[in-house]
Amino acid sequence: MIRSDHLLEIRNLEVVFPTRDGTVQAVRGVSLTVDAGDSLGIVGESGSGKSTLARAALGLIELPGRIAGGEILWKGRSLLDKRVARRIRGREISMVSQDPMASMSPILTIGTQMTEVMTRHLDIGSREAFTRAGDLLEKVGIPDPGRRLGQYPFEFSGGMQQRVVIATALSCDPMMLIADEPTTALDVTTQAQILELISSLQKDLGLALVLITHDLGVVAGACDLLKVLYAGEIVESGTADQLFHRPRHPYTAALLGSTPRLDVKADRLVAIEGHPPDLRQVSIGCSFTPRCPHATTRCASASPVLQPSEAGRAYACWNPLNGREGPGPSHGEGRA
Amino acid sequence: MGRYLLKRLSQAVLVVISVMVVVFVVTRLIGDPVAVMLPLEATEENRALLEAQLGLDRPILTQLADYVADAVRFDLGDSLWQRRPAMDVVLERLPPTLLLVAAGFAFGVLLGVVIGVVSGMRPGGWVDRAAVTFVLLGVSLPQFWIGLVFIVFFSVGLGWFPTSGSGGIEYLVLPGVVLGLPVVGRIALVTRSSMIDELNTQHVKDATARGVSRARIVMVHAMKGAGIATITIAGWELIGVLAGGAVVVETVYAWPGIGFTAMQAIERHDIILVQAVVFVVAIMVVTINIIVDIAYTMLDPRVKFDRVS
Repeated sequence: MIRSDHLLEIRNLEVVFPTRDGTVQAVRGVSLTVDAGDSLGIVGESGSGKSTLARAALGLIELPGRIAGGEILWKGRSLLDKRVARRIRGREISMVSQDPMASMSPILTIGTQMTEVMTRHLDIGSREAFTRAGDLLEKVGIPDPGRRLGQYPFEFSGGMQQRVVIATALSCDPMMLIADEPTTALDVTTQAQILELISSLQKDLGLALVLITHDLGVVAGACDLLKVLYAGEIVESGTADQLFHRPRHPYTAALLGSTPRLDVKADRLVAIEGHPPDLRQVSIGCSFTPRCPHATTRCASASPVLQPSEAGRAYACWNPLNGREGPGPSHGEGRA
Repeated sequence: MGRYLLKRLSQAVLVVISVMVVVFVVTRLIGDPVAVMLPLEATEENRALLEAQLGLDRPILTQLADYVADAVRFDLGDSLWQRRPAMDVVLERLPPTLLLVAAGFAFGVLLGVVIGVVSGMRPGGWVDRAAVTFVLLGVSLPQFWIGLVFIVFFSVGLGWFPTSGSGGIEYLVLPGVVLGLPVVGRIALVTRSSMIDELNTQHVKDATARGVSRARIVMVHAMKGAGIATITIAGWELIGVLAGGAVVVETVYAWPGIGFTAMQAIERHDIILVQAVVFVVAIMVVTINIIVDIAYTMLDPRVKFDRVS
């Protein structure tokens, strides 16, 4: 038992995946904390290590991947201990993943898949679990739950299926919900409904929420705190308000700049030039250097560390932006 | 479901009739039964007489039409060798074959599924590599050879089992195992690879994340998914055992079933008896196919759904 005052505390986490062409450093020294009732957004592009971070927090890094360093603590107990992780997974920490249609077995009924989690973790029989599953479906907005429990995932629409997955994730009254791109596979109107559902459940149940996404619009409405992940490192963190209006890291600013907006007339979509770095090669300097419009020689030779600045925010940059009004979407736009 | 079954049954009847026609034509092309049945010094008159008795002097199309018409009434004519209804001979020899096939198939499927699941849980591990090697031997070595080696080793050498014939359970062990060995191999390989696929699906990963136990994931989630592929192969294997393996193994072990009977009938140019064996095997084969299709709908709800819509 290591002392930790937080619900979830990740310290200097390093996750590596050895491949034939070298070792991929997917997560490089990430630290973060989540407390009860927090809503934390983790934002980054594909390959930034955000999903790996989420899976690591559930003790689900699969071979050949491994945790090369750092610590993950859940209420002071190490989730690197597989036995601890097994007990906590689904019981105290739940996860909702990207593609609801792929998230459940196509050949088992919804009822079977909802109740199997409950009968394992809660001290209840299968009949009681079915009743509870029906109540949960009702709670997430699925009509006629009795009939629905006997159906298979392919008999649901994407949005409905994601509601089922969310209901299942909440079935054992967890303290924390990790949602890894929960809306990416859904169409836009459904996205808004699902986000609304997650947000309201989070507030009603007092859940800690970790929302992982590449879409700043998604976290804008749902999260109070944000962390921006780039190449396996946190490059900036702060409140949603701070990051949206006054980004200090050029990458955060670039992400905001590439989010399409309805209220600004633009002829073409803005993209961030270049590609994310190859995580098999360790860079000496800041990993955003090749794509950064503000890069100097110092950026290429020395890696900036995450420095706390004003009220609760931090960034890792040698040449931070001066906190001018950011070009991003206004706070709250993510909600429809 | 009822309409589907009716459709499948009528298709099955067509398949059996087609098989009968093919066998009828082929058996009349490969040899002259009259020449085999008569002694060497028989005269032309003797030949003509016997041909007339057997109805072989009629036009071939007439023979075929009569033959099919009789066959649908399960009358396949008298065995030339045993001089009694061929169907009686086959039905008499059927139970030993069914017993042997059931034993060999059950052994093959059970051991195959166990090996496949265990191997598929940790592909590349030492258990997996040892199992795959063992299983490939069973698939690759010809059955008649394994059969003979087993007789030399277990019957002649160790004296554990009788060399051939039938009787108590001890007579069943060697032919059953030999019949089942290639089944073990193919079932294990298919089960193994579909277990590997199933265990790598997103829904299995997400089930782990939801907190479903490893045991339940393997035994329920993955095995039910892998079962679909296994059932398909098991159906084919049962057909292979019945229509192929049984002939070889029964012959090696002088097991008094329809396979051994078919071999004897072929040696004696008893085309009527050969046809009767083929007829019965064909009916069993199409029945197995229908059962496999019904098993799908029970394992995979999507199949049922597709059929309705």
